[in-house]
Amino acid sequence: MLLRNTFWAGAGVGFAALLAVLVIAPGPFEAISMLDRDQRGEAAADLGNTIFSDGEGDVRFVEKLADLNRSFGDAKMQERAIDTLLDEDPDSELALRRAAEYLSHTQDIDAYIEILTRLADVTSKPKDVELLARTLRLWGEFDAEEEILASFVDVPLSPELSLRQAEILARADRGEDAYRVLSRTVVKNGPEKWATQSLLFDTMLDLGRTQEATRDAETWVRAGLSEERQADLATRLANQGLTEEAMALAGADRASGKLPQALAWSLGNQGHVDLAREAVHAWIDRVPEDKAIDGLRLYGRIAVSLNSMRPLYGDLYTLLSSDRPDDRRTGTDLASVVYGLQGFAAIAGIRHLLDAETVAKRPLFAASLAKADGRANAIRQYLQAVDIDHLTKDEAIEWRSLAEVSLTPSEIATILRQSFARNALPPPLVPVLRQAAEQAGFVDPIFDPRLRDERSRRS
Amino acid sequence: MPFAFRASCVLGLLLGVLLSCVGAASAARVDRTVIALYDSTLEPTPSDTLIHTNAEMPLNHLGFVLDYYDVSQDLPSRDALGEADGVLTMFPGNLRHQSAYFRWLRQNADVIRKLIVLGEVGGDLTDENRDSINALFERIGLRVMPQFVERGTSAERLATDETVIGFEVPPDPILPAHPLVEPRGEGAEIALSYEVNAGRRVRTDAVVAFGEGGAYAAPGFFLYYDDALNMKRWIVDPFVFFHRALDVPVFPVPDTTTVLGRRLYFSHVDGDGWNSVSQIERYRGTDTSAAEVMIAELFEAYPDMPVSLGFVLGDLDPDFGARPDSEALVRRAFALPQVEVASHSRTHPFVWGFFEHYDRARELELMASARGEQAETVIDRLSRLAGIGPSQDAVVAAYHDLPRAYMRDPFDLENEIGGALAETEALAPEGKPIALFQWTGNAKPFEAAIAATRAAGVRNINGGDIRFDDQRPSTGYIAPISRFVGGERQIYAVNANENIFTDLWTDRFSGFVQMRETFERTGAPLRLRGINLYYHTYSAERAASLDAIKSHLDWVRTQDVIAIHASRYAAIADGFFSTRIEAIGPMEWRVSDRDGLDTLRFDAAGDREVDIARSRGVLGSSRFNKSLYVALDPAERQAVVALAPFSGNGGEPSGLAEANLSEGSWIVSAFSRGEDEISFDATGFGPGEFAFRDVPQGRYRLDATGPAGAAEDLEVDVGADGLMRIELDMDARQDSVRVSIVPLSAQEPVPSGVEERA
Repeated sequence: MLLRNTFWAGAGVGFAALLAVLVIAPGPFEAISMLDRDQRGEAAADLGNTIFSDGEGDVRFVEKLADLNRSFGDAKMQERAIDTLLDEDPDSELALRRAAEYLSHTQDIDAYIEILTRLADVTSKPKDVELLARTLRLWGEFDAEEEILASFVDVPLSPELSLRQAEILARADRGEDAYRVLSRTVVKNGPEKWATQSLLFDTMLDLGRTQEATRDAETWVRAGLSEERQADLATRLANQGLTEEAMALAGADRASGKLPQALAWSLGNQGHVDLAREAVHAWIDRVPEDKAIDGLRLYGRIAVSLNSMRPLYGDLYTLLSSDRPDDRRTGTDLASVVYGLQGFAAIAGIRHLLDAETVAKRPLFAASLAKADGRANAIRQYLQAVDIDHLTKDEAIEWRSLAEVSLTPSEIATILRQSFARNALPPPLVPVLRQAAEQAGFVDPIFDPRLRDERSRRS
Repeated sequence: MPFAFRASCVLGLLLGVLLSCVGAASAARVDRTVIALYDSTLEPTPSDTLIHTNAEMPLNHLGFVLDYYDVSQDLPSRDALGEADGVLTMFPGNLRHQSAYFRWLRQNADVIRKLIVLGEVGGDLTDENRDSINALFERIGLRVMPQFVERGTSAERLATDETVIGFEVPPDPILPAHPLVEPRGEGAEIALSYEVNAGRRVRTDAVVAFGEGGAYAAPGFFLYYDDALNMKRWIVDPFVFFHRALDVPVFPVPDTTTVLGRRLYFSHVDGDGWNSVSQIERYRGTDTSAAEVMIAELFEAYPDMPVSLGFVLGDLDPDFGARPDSEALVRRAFALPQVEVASHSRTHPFVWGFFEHYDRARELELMASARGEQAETVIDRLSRLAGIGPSQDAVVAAYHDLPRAYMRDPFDLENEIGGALAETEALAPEGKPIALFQWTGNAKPFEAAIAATRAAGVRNINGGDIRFDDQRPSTGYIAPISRFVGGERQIYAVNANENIFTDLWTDRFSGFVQMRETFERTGAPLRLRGINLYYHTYSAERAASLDAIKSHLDWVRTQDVIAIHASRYAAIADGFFSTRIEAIGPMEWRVSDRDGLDTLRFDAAGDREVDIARSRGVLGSSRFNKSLYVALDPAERQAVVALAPFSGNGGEPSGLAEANLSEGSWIVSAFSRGEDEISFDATGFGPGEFAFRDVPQGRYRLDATGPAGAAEDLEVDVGADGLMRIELDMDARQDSVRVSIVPLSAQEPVPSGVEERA
């Protein structure tokens, strides 16, 4: 009895043990994971490869096995494991990424590109499309790259790749798609910025979105687009007959407030003196009155340089004939510019439109006119009214040439020394002062720079 | 002594002097210098430049040495320009002092032989700058215009020279932005051009062109670079491009890839990981170090494969983790005949630049910062109280953010290099000298460090990281031979090590198998590099990496290579720079100052062969693809190489004096070749394989006498093809084998190549 009880007790214990082993024995995944956890990756990979070769193991196991072989084991077994995962689910993003990662470290570029293509098709994620497109381009597969970029239009890519995508779409006459891509592309700086703006602008023009193109261009101008590029865009508008838009863009406010010389010249040199005029006049309208003459000089130089005198004379006639004093003043300034560039003969035709009161506000010009008229006293009077401190170099030379024949050395010295005392005497007139003072017998350190320097040294 | 005799002696002496003067006067030195201009405000040192990382390698391959000038400091003199074959620029943008540069260009336009501009011209396209550069461009048949071709400009391709364009990748169909350069006159040979709209006119846009005055390639049209992938590929064939740009004449190119007609192979190991425990399963539980596994399975198991072991002396220091067997293992390794003794420094600097103006206080700050702001650890405190040294954690860098690995003692350059070399040599058997210093860490030593290795009388190597496969898909990833630092020269390793294949030794431990692709691609169609199996001791920590190295060793055994030590390669590389070549006649050159270099190469030499009779110090020649390789006798320091039109194997050689040693697997010295005998000494690894061509038909006796009385006697038959192949099964690793070949009496013709062992 006791023996039978002992037997059955032992059998029961054995059965329980067997049951315990069956219940808690690790499966394939657990087995290799435990080895890996114990820093025995090589053993884990070996065991896993054996199990795998026997056809066992679920997806989780195969994934683990692929990773183990990547790290510690056999690349071929890694590939087999990945292939198994892909057979299981060809569109599994995880499996495709594993495959891509594996192939990125092999020498099979065709297989790598194929997997990247499948991955991009499945995920449509920007990073996947980018990697595929760039890889194709690196390997000179431009047609395939174009195909990819043209098909993933709704995937937001990096600025550089978006630009390229838009270029491809534009060439394929898919303007709306190019527009969509470019509109969402933000390029803060770098070489792609202008290229993106330029292409977007052209695309909008091609699509008839002229108002939008002009508005965008004006925004870019305010944000600092270079004058040359502003001119480029305005010219494009003009070349398409969009005169009003071209004028608007040419006159767009540059925010810097500086005279847009490069803009005006660029427009003029491209055959658009009218746009250059608009750019200058728009600037004149925005600056204080005393600055306007700078704009008029620029316009005058451009018109003369490019032999575009007809509109210039049209402006002169209109302004000088106006009832508005401001217009007549502007016209007088413009006339003085033309006179300075081309002499009296150039303004002979509108001479009669110049009224004395307005002309007197430009005393140097008035002096020149008085000289042409032979009015000696008027010359003297006007020369003495000139604001010597703010003469330009050319104006100073003009003043000098008039003063030397119209004023006495004493008068010249007296006029100039005041400006000299303010340290504002234009350089071309310094030797004039010196000579006049000498001739007048003035020995006054206040206008003799040599004496003044010595005196200040002594003090 | 009779007067007449004395007089005749004096006369003879005078005549000899006169003749040598005439000879010297008629010898024309072959200039092979190209001046490379860079701006240190844009690219701090020559090795940071686009030229160094892209253009220098193909120029080295063509035989040219680059002489770098920093345009922001010092522009080349007229004398320097007169001695250079050309001037090369590859500026990344506008120069800081562009006015001075363009002024210098204009002033020296008459003395610059060739100007080669890759990419940016170096400044704004002002009238003045363009006038300056056009003074040289017009000699190429080009003119830089003020217009700029914007990116994506609509263009029609006009001309494409496919021998130049599309080498690794075709030009991008979307044009990159670049300045407009037009052909001017008929002088330009256009390799790539477009028709574009620029400045309201249709113009011809020459983006790659050659001319008498040099060459030009516009930005974006010679090298494609993707900054997101960080990968590049050549659009132009740089070898063809530079060859045409410089109008390279025929001259013997000092070759660093081949010895005695065979591609060279060498292996070197950095000792990092010496004291690591191997995690290979079959060693589990045995506490076997990676060093021991490496010695047993990679050194001792391959006695025919030379390897240079660079040992880190600090690995013997208990403070730095030395094991009881560390020293014994290094002695065991150095005692092996195939192992060359080398040093991998004392404390393993990671960032060499830190030590050029060393600041110990700063190093201590970095150490403290790496450990965090915490106070010394408990272990450190206890150690300190007990008078024991600091814990390993305190003085051993766990990661590379610190300037070196072993930081306990202040850095001292003499100790780091000279001292390490001397103490490492003491671990080798007596009489076995140390030969090499292997740079550590970032492998960017400063000038004084390199000078220290030269002063110690050893060669130096490392840096370069050459890899050429689908992950580095361009010859542009093959580094040049060397890096100049001030007046010193660092020799780059020929291939990368396992680090870049294993994510810096963190994963993918079998990745080094991919190195095979680089071995193959750098060997053909152009033989650009030898084979260099370069790894660290820690590769023996993992079975996958160990197996990868074994796969390469096994593969090399199947190749027709000549196995040499790393220091010999470094000597060959040094010789590339020192070699002096003088043209002494039509297709005849004198070559001297070669240092360790003993191979010259002629490319596109299908119509020529070496004229052994007119040459001196030439062992033989061989062909690989379109190149002719000429092997020189190391004992002849003033070799003469003469070429003759290829005779097409016509004519039976009359004696052994015309025999051509076309290839060999051992290094040959004391070579003697007469009508009735050829003899030489040879040392090397593996079986001694030699091939002679142009050997008179017949039977020959070969006697080979080696160390410790080893000898082989063979009878070799040579057939009508004049080819003699020999294989010696002797140990020539340390002591040379003396070989003698003499003809036996005339025999009946037999199939060639048959050797009968006596």
